[in-house]
Amino acid sequence: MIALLFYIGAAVCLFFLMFALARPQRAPVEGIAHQFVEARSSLQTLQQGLLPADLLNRIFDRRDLDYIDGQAAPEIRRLFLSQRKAISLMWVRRVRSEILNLMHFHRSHSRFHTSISILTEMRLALDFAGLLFVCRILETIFSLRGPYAAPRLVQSVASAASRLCAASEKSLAFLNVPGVNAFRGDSTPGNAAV
Amino acid sequence: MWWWAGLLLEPVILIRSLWTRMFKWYPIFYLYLLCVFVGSGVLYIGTSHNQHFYVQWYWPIQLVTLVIGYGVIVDVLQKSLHAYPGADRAARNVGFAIFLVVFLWIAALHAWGPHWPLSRFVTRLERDLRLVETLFLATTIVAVRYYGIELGRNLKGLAAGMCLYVGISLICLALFNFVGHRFDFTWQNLQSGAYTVAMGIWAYALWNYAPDPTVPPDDSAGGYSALADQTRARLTALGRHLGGKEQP
Repeated sequence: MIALLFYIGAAVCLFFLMFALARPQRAPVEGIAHQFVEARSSLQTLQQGLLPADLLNRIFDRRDLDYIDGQAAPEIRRLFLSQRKAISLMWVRRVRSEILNLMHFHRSHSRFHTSISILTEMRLALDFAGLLFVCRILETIFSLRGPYAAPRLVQSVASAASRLCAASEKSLAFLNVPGVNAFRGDSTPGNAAV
Repeated sequence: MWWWAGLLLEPVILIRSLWTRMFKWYPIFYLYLLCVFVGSGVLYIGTSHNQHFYVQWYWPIQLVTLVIGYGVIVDVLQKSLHAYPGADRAARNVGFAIFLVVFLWIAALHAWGPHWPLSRFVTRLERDLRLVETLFLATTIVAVRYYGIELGRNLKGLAAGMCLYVGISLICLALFNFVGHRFDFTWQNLQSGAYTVAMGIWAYALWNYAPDPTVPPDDSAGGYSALADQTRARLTALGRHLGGKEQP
């Protein structure tokens, strides 16, 4: 009976894969250079707009809740908590989407390298899966217990965000061409501006 | 009825391949189809003259088509990933490792297992060979999906038809080995039906040559190890970031 289930399970998995094959792929067909530029742009958005430490402190600082507790009516507290929850969920989803971007970025590069290491690829695939899982756990914690349920984790995220950006910046550093800034806006009238 | 429909679709696909010169692009697949067509015809004509012909010749013909079927799967793998050497290498290594392990395991089971009557032995062996085909196909599709490779209509259709036929065959053979001859008619109809549907998919997918979508150029700097190191560094940072201890 177990053998029968194994054979049928293998066939069913193949059917699922067949349907997966029919679905359009997420990876873009543009050149790798385009992806590098996109990764760079995403990094800048993170550094300057979405993950600065003071912004995260504003979202997850418990003193705001303490202030509301001391000053406002219970309805205001409920409204405040629901809005903070929505923001914290948005934040963790954004982190998850960054990990996914990183994963796609790696896969779209490694597929070209003949010196690919199967073990490294498998290990990275497991690491990605683990990180995505942790993000899902954080999302669940925020959904069930609110934005203030995991303060240490949030603090570590706030301090580690800069490290992540620095690590990413290194691999994309070649896109910062110093000479380009020197030309920007310096063109003589009538000539093309860079 | 299903069997006849499949037998009629085979020459349609073969003649169309001569008309559009598609056989140059997928020679192994058309050889497979030709073998199945000739084999089915020979079995049908032979059985109508001699009742024992089917029993004598079914397995040798089936073995030949199975071996060429493996060739079709390897061809699909090669053509899907030829522009992506890294993905090709990964899929090929994993695929052949699975193939070797399962094949040796099956060979050992058949060599040292109980001695079955010939008909039982043949169906078990066919089931096990279909399992190896299933795993090889699955590896190919996982590689294609994992590395985000877009396939053209021809290759998608080839793989989908193979998946359908191999999957249904595996289920039928597994159930046949478990339940026995009681549902012979059902298994045969199911298998013939799956083959005819697969034929329909192949006829649609291979009606014209459809090249694979444009391959993005690899203009990245550095080798694989540099890329893997960069990714690992970023993953470590993310790991600390999400689940590790608070950093000073």
